[in-house]
Amino acid sequence: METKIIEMMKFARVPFELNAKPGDRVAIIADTQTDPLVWETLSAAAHEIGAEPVVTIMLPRKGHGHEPPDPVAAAMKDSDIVLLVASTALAHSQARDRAQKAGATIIFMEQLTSDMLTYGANADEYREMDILGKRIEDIWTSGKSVSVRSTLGTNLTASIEGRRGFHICGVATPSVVGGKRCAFHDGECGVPPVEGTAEGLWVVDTWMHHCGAIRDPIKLTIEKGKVTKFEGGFEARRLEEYIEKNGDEYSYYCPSEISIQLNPKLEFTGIGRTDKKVRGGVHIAMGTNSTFGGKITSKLHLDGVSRNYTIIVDDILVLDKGKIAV
Amino acid sequence: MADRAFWYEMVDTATKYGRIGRLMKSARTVVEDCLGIKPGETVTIVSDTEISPLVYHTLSGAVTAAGGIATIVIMEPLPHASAEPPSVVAAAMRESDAFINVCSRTISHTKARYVAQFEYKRRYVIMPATTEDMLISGAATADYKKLKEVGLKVIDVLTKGKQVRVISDYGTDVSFSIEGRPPKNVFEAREPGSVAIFPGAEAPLGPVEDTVNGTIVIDRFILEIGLVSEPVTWKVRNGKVYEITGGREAEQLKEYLSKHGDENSMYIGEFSIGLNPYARSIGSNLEDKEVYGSVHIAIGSGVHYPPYYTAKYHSKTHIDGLMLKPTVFVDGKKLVDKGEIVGAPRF
Repeated sequence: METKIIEMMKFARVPFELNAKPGDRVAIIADTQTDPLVWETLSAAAHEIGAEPVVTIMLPRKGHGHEPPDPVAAAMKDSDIVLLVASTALAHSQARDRAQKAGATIIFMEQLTSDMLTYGANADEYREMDILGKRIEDIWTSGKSVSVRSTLGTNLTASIEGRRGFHICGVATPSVVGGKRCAFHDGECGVPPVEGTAEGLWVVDTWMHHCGAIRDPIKLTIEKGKVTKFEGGFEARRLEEYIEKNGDEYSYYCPSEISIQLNPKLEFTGIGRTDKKVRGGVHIAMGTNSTFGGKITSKLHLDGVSRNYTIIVDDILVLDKGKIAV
Repeated sequence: MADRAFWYEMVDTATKYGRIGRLMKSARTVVEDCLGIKPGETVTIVSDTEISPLVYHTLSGAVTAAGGIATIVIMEPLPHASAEPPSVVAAAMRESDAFINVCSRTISHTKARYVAQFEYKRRYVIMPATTEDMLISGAATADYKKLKEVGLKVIDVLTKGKQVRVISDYGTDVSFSIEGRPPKNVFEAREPGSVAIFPGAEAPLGPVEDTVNGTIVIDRFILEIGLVSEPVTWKVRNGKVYEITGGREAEQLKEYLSKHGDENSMYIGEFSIGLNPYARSIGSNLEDKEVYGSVHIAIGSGVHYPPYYTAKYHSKTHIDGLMLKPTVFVDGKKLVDKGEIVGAPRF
């Protein structure tokens, strides 16, 4: 008998407090790599608020974005709330798309471990994040250009004119593809800048997809909205090789997303799932952004997390050396 | 509570390390022999939080080993046997090539099952309330080829038969017509829309409604209530039970039916003969019904099976009552003699 469930129960309730109501049909989509304690605790939390939880367990998919088996897809489509806790992301799957279009609220929790459910923000803190996120989203939406700088050398400008900002802070918000979605842990607000307009240098210093926690910062030169040069140490080479092998020409589009992170109860640990949400951090992405309002569809979407950035939208200082200034 | 009485028999399910090896044999029988799963077929294992994870994990492993695509679906236990499962579960059931029922409370007499099996032509295996123990001991250890031989003999007699009379030492004396109601073959589910029971086996049929008359004395077990300490008597007139008498269990049954039942809960819906000499009467919602030479008769939802897709009475409940050593006459000829099947001895 695992005693960790005692610590987990408090945090497992949060996504339901924010998004569920009694009687909701909840599907918890796990696979055989998911710690059973994760779905067990989430299922208990759903039960506790009077929702109707159903857990589905499949074999792990081959990779991120691969489709679940038909019975799982059917279960997702027939639910009010879908929690994705499998070991691979279903974010870019048809099954997720159909479920969302059918009206389900999707909560992204892929690769969530039982440890990750023992800390985090509570429901009230998420509601505060949601208000702050909305405020920054409005700045993104009405802004024309963005400038990103850091002490390590980042100096990047891009146009965001005509682009809608978004915020996802644990409370599901409408997505451009229909339905609602959020993540857990959560807390970010961002914008997909206009493709082809970015110029400058982007230095990633904390965490990068497929590289993990970063020792030697990755310096990426951006010209006309595309990464043209990879510099740095091991991580820079790893990233370049990974995109060469697994990506396509659209994978180099950058920044396809600039997001300011808002969660005050998370710390940088070297784990992407939570590093992407730590308050004051910023993640910038390469590749796909058509799922949240951009025009790029690539095989890849790669986030890089950094600290101590300064972000100015038009003449509004939004982030000042990692401190939220609005 | 009366309707929680059967949980006790599931207590053995504390997982023992290494036990999976012994469970695997039964799991393979279900997947390879009963269902004949071929590579690429999707199988949904429907379970709930009262079932040992080892049961559905092992079944899922057997599906994967056979090249199938396994999905486990775990819900909360249903409020009573044959209550409708959540629509999320129903959706998963009808979108699989086959589905296996290992729920603590059966989903057998639900719309979700009828739609998945009959309309979507999915294969279905009935194994509700399965414990780890039930996959290792008792009915599961029988030689299934021999079991089928016994079964086909019984099925043959019942298929040709017109009139059945059941009597027992406890006072059962009930007669009904089975004309045009051949028993279901529940040994394997390899054809689209077919059904199997594991561990089996039995020969279930739906008697012609409204022809059932007499007295049924349940001497051993009632579904959802458990083993009976005192026989429970059902008086039947024109297919409907009009009086339930007996001791504590009779009271529990009445309470259960008043809580979960509906206007069709009292109609006789099923008559079945158990076939498995290795099955034990242990108060299990599955294994007891398979005991060799026993008879169970159910009130509530009728047996649904092609070509008789719709039984006359559908109800929210389906409650089986078990007689351990009855005598069964088919058109005046003995088919079961005090718990021994004539012409098909124990093996």
